[in-house]
Amino acid sequence: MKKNCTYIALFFVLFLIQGCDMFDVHPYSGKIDGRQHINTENIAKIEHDYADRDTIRYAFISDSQRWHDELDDFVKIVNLRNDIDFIIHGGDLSDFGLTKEFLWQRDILDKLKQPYVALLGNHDCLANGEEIFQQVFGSPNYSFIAGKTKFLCLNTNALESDYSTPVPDFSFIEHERQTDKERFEQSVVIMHARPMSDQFNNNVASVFQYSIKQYPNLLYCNNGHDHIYQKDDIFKDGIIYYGTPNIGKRQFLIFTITKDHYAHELVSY
Amino acid sequence: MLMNLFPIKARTSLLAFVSLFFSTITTAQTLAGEYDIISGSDSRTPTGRNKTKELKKAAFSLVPSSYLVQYAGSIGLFSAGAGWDYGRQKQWSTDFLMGYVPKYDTDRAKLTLTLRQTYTPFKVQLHEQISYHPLRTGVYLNTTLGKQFWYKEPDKYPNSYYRFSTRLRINIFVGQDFSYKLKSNSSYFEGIKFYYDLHTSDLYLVSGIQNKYLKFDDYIGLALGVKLQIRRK
Repeated sequence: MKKNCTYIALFFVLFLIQGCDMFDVHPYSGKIDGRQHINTENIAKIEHDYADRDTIRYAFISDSQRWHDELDDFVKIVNLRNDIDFIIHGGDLSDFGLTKEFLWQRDILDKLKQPYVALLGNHDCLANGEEIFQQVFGSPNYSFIAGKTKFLCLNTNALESDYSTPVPDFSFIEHERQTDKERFEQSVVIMHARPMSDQFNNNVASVFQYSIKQYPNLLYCNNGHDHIYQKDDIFKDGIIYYGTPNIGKRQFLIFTITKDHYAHELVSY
Repeated sequence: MLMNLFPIKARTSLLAFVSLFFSTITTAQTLAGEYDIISGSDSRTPTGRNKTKELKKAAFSLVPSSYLVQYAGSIGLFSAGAGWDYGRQKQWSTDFLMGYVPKYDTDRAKLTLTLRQTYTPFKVQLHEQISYHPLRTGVYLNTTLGKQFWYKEPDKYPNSYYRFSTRLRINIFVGQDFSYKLKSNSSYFEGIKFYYDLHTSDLYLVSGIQNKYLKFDDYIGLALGVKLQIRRK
């Protein structure tokens, strides 16, 4: 009988060791294992590697919440190509704001051979999601320069915020316009929810449009959130908003930017 | 430190809840004690004896029959609470736990409350003192305190914008346990039970089912617990 007890005890110890990473503290624990501050690291890589490029080509994906399989397939597809310089994720990596969701998506995206950056989506703000996003990926507003093009990535999820945080942040937009002026000749604005959508602060939609048009040679805008392909001149001023479908549709956009010109393509896989 | 964890409102309701919990237990314990004395004077009449016996039983059922501590389980790093075991074979158990989630990479630590219903249908007597329950299963509801978490989405959202609650999690679990009965006949605790549970919640499950990419241990968690059984007279 004593022997039996020893076996039982041994079984428990083995089980414990086996299950070490199976202990879940809480769905919103904020316990982050592994890589953090991904945007900052990858932006440094993008700015360094493509500084002298005349042509820039990137893939734009968005809304991969709870579509881990489809995102994983996207990574495989893009890794087979060698003509994509970097990848931009338009936000909504998580569906419920769970800590694990961000880490699952990060681990998939980390398999990309090329650098990537992610934007904050409205679902990423749920519960303490924004804190996790900031830790794993980075600030909700940021910018980077690839070749001679400045990419302005903005948090436009106004419905998730209150007036204590400006969304969109006009002082950030203005500040970025003045920063590194000599390094870029044209601009692209990326956001999760576009003007006139349910998330955007539509009271300032035209002011927003005016402020981004102050940027040198604004080419176009990119957005996610609506889960469909969009190509709309929302303000009838020649600035096109290109929306990418959610990754669950197994579709994404590829943009090729040259001097004063750009082309886009909708890819299905 | 605890004082800074929550806004005042959440703290007050928490305190009220905890004090209600303890006052219920104390009242029940006092009642049980009082009927013990009364039963002595009333024992001459058989009907009186029966009546007091029933009252005593009723009062006793309010007193927890066990205390427990648990590690992990999606309800906190550690949680502690009290349980009520009942049924002919003590196959039913209702536990109330309070869990602590450290702050990790977020702004603040969190407290959670859990109500758990367990069903343990089978019992295998391994030894005079050791018994093994090959299956324990059930459901637990967990709520996280703090204004970041809502039961229902705030009014600012259009109708049914997010169709879930960040505050209330429904968890299911299966597990096993081993019970060790103490040799003493008069100790406060009569036995100790070690259990483990494999568990998942509504949100983990819906992610796991939908994605082949996610593996078993991505959305199924493991919890370990110890339950101290209080001796009944």
